[in-house]
Amino acid sequence: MDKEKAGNEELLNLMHDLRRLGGLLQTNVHELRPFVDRTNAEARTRLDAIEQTAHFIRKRLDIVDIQLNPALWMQQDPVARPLHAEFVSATTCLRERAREKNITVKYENTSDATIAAYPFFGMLALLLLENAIKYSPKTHEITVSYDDDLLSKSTTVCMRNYGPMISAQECTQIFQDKFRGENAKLAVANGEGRGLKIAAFIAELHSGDVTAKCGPEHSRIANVPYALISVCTKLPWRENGRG
Amino acid sequence: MIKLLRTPLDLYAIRRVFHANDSNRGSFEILVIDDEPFTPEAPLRKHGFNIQSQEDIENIDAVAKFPIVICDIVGVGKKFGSSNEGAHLLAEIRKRFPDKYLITNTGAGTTTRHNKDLRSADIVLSKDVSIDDWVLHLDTALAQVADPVSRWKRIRDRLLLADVPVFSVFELEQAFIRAIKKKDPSTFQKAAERTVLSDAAKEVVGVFAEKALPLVITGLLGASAGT
Repeated sequence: MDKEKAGNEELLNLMHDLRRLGGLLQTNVHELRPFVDRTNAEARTRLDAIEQTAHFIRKRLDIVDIQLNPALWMQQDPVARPLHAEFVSATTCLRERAREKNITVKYENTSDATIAAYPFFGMLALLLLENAIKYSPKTHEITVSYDDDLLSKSTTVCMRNYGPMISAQECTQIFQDKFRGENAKLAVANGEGRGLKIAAFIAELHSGDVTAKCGPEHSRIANVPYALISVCTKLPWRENGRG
Repeated sequence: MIKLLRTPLDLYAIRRVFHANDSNRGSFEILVIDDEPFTPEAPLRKHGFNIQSQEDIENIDAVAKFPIVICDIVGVGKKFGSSNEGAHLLAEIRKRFPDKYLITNTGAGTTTRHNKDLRSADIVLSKDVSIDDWVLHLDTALAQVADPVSRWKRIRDRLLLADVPVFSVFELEQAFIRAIKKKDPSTFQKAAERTVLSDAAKEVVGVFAEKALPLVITGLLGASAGT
């Protein structure tokens, strides 16, 4: 028990130090930016990459926080956040990761919906996009589209990409803790099956829900069947509607 | 008892919309309590925020003149002897100064033992938020503290929670509106003195009248260019 307590204390100190270093990185990038020549594209790209990495580490730590202590983050009042901006921010954050696989993220339309968001809402878009990038084959496209529904006062944001096929039953199970589809395991060895579970949890905390659909087999890569996967998140607007 | 009633003054007539920018952000002082250097301080100063840092405080009244307080959790509040450190400090500040905007700046959001005390904070920010996020949140905080209506509503909520009779709260509110309109804190201070209140409520009102209200009025004068 003492060992466990010491381990928790160690984790706490580690996260504290990581966040402090993250803050230092953010501040230094911010201070350095005005001194980088606008014409020096290489330097600016490097600076962007450092900033995105700091953002990414922060969001990763946020995910640990929200899992271990959701009450702390939920006792704050939700604030109005533009839905589209959250997804664009996640795309920026994961730009380097997408670039490594030559994956492009294409927005088919935009939405002026705002939702009542807790501070951790941004993680939802990040987790969904990270998952799509992880399972997309190289040199493919991920599309994002919004459907604003005036009747139900909600927006459904759908992310579509080619990924390892999932059965109809697996479509409901992929939001369970530590569950991975059989083809997903064959296609990508590493993975804990937690990302989509946390995404669904965050959607639920915002009175929304996430569903997945899989189209017919499209192609095979290393004998793994691939199909068009849609992951759609329905989220209610904040009071007073859109924009 | 016979009370002479007249048309009440409208609280929302004194509402002040504050559009923060580089030139008016300095109108309100922000206190940072952190035993380690507050790394965003220099860039936030460049954005016009009037930030002062202290490693710790000796007593709660040390924060009296700051409408916004940013407080770390670990390594501060040592004089108060609580194992909850900065979280306890925030709860104590909230007790004495309900109208302040309190920000927790934490590196460890996983521990649940601070949750109760951290309900006193308006917002919890992790230590690795970007400067852009800091600017956004501090501008929100400035808009709150620059608006006399927001400040008063926090006091009013506390009084109602303390079971102060609604009519007494109403009378205090009318005095507050008059004080803001005349830019004269004494109007409210006199009303606070003559209103019968419990000791706890008297302290909240007394501290607000003495420490915060003059600064609210000064802030209104100082911030007028940007409103």
